[in-house]
Amino acid sequence: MRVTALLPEAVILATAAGLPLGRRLLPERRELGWLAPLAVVAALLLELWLGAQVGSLFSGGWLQDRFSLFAKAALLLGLLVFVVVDREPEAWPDLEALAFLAVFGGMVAVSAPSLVGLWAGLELAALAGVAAGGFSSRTAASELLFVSAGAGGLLALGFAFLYALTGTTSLAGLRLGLAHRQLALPLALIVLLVLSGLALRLALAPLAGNGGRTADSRGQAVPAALLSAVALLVAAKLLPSLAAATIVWAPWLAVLSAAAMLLGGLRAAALLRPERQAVWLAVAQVGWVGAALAIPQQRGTAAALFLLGCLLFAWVGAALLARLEPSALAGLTTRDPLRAAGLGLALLSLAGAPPLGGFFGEFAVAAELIRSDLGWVLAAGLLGWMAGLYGVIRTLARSYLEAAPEPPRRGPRPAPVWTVSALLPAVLVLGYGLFAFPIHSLASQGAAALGLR
Amino acid sequence: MSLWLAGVALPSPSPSAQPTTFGAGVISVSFLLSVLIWGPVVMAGIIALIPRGGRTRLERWPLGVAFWTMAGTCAITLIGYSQFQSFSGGLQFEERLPWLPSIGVSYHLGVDGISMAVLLLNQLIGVVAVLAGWELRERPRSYFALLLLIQAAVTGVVAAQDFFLFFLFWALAAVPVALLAGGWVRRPGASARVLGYWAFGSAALLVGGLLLYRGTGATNFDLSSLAGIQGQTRLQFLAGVLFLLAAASRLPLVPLHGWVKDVYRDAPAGVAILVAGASSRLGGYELVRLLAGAEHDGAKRLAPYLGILAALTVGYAGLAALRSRQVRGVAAYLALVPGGLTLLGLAGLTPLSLHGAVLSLFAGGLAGALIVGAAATLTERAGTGRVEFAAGLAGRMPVLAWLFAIGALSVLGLPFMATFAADLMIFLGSFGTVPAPAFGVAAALVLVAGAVAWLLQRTLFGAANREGPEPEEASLPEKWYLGILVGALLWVGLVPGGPKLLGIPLFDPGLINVISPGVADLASTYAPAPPPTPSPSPSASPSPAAGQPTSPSPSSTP
Repeated sequence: MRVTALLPEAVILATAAGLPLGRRLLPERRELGWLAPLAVVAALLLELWLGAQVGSLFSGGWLQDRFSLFAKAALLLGLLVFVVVDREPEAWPDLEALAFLAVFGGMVAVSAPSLVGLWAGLELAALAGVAAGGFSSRTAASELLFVSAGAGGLLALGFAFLYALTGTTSLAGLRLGLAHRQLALPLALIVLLVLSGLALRLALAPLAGNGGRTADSRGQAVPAALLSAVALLVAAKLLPSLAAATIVWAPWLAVLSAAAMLLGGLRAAALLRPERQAVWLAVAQVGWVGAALAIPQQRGTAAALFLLGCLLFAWVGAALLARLEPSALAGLTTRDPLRAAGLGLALLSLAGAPPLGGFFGEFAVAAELIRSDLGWVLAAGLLGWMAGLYGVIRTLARSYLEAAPEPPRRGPRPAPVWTVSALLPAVLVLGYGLFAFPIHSLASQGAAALGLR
Repeated sequence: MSLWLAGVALPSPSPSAQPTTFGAGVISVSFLLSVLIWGPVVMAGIIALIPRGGRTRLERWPLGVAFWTMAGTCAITLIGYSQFQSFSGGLQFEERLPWLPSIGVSYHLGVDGISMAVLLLNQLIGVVAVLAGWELRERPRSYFALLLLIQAAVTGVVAAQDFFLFFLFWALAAVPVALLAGGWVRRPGASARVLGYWAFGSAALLVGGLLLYRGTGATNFDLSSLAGIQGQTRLQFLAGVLFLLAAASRLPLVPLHGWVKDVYRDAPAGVAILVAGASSRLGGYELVRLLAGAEHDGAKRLAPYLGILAALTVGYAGLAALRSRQVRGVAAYLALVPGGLTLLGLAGLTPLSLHGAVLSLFAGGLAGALIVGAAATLTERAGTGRVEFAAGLAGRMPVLAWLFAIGALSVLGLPFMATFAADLMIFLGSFGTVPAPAFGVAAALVLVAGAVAWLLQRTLFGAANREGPEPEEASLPEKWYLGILVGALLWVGLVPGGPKLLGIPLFDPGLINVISPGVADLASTYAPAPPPTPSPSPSASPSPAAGQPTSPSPSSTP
């Protein structure tokens, strides 16, 4: 394997550094607006081309396998939705750079063969998220910093204990080392420590208390989506190494996931603001992914990855398009029909409505839950599904069927390219279902690359 | 798109339908069912792209696109129906492509005789529903686009031969219906109620299907694989209860009928017709496919409960209709009756009752659509929905009054109507196996008859109420759509085996001939095991066991 396989990461990192620099040095050059989408498309194409090779670099310090290929492609697609759909890139120019940095952190984590790499990648993504939170309000940033520090601390402590227990930071070594040990209370506590840190990072309900607040600002919603995706990918990568303690973490993760599925759906049904609704629908779908990860088999992880891919870009798309007051929903189809279509389909996919990507992913997870005797988790998920669907239908009814109270005012219209770009999440959630075959196959190969059966 | 292209390119793996009647051989494509499903979806998208016309000629475009789409799919279905190989079991017009092979999901479509009957019903109802919305002026783009989506979803359920597809289209139908309820029904919470009941049914269906998947140990979701469950009576019972809940939320059956007033009574006529005539029939169809067709032990154990539920539903419909003081309210409750009768037919589990149940899916759909449609039109034309104000209408709007009366009587199973043949088979077939529920349904029908008589006497006959608004006769599109429903009910009632000239079938192979092979396959699994061959004895009598009718041959059915 050649070093050129790192080109996608290099493009993302260079753009993360170059964007704020370019905007400061050349503030009048509007062409810079094209730089971010072009960079993401280039990185995605390079990843699909070069990342198809399986191998390692730096004496095993960097892994490129089917898991990392799938994960990086999903992260880059999520980033692409952000840079294409975002209509106010000038409002917070550094936000794009931070999103690039979060994705770079995720790319590092999914290619890491050791706890150190996992931790570094995840913390880099988390740092970008906290910094982005600072754009909206100081209070939110300090809250995020507090939660993030707690999560990072728990993870670091857990990883350190794991190293102390097995004498290695390598994920493969960890798996071997734990396989020969009896499951005792200290190991169980360590595993729970690590997973508590991950759950905080994931903002799984009921730990998602800041879900409403993160929705208030574009500065937080998008990095929160990217960070959750990175945390899920880290969990997918780490859990097979903790196979010896499955009996500890699987029920724990199942309970948390069931709570997230149920509470996310119920909260989404109760809320009127579409932004907050999107966040809680995403929390519910994160719960579905977590429930699939609680099945320590290849099929479960494949279903989790399959759903995660769609969750990410639907979440990012909905977070950007749903920045509306509830009263502004009425007559949205008249004022901005493409935005209404993009928002509607992204929300429906997050709610798991057919025939969109979210529905396909949730069906795959449901099938695995029944096969694994986790019917009670599925029951919680279906209750949340019904509630979430109701919330989305109510939102759609307002945006599609209610007339605006007064004729729309002719404000400054966005450029046509930005208007059309609102359709990107819709196209992706529709295409995800249509091309489910190759996508799920890649997810299955990714799960197999983690050593799962 | 890839699926579509592959569908075009690949030959159909099914035996091609042999020409048997007029119209045969006109269509020999392998993607007929895909056209019927995705055609309306594409046209719904096109309707959404039509610019808002205000009060210009663009205002009528959504109606035109929807009408010609429905008419086109109906014509294609009629040709497919005439090409259908009657007397042959198995799937026809089959399409199969891998979709998610790693979890065993395939894009598998196909129809047998049972599905063909429901497919035909759905297409007829689609045309009728658009005609019923001829004069709709309120947000026509959204309205007709959503109607087309419902039509596509119903067709998808009927054609699906993979549980994933079945569930996908089943759940998909809930979204446009809930949006229509939210946008066109003035009653608060209508959308939430419809979605709540239908989503609950979808969740029950999903869990039931997944239980079967697990129980059979199948590696795919093909309905034929899920039908292979043997033993595991408890699991079959549990899955059966879940399927029953799903069906009860759609047909609907008591006590999951809470959305009926929102849709049948308060929604625009087109929506009420499409749901009462086609979408709700999916509940019965699901029971035929997944309960009676897939879980034989579960169906046998659940049969008495199905019968009780049928009696409860019909009895409740009769009582509620007697209590209601609104014409559309009475009609809404009367539209519950065909669902109860279908359920009784399924509870019977004899060849004759199953024939009746499948025929009642078709006939009951037409009757349900007719009564809710006629009531909606009558209410609108009479200018009042209250029974006491709408008196003596027969003399002032004779055509509509006749159509309304036929609709109300067809629910009861008026002779010469398709519902008569279906009800007769259901009662004759089920009295032997579930006598108490069958008697209960028959007694409940007396209540329904009382409600019908009361409704007709108060609204159509008697002295005209001169204080109320002046009624108008139905418009031409309204006469057409109600006439199509009455015509279809009469046609199947009079010539269920299809018209013949010198013994040669003409354009219609006969609905009863089309459904017979499928029902015979279904019923064969419930036939009593043959007794051990007795030693030949001159005193042995070959008479069949009482209460166990033999499978009717197509020519011997009414």
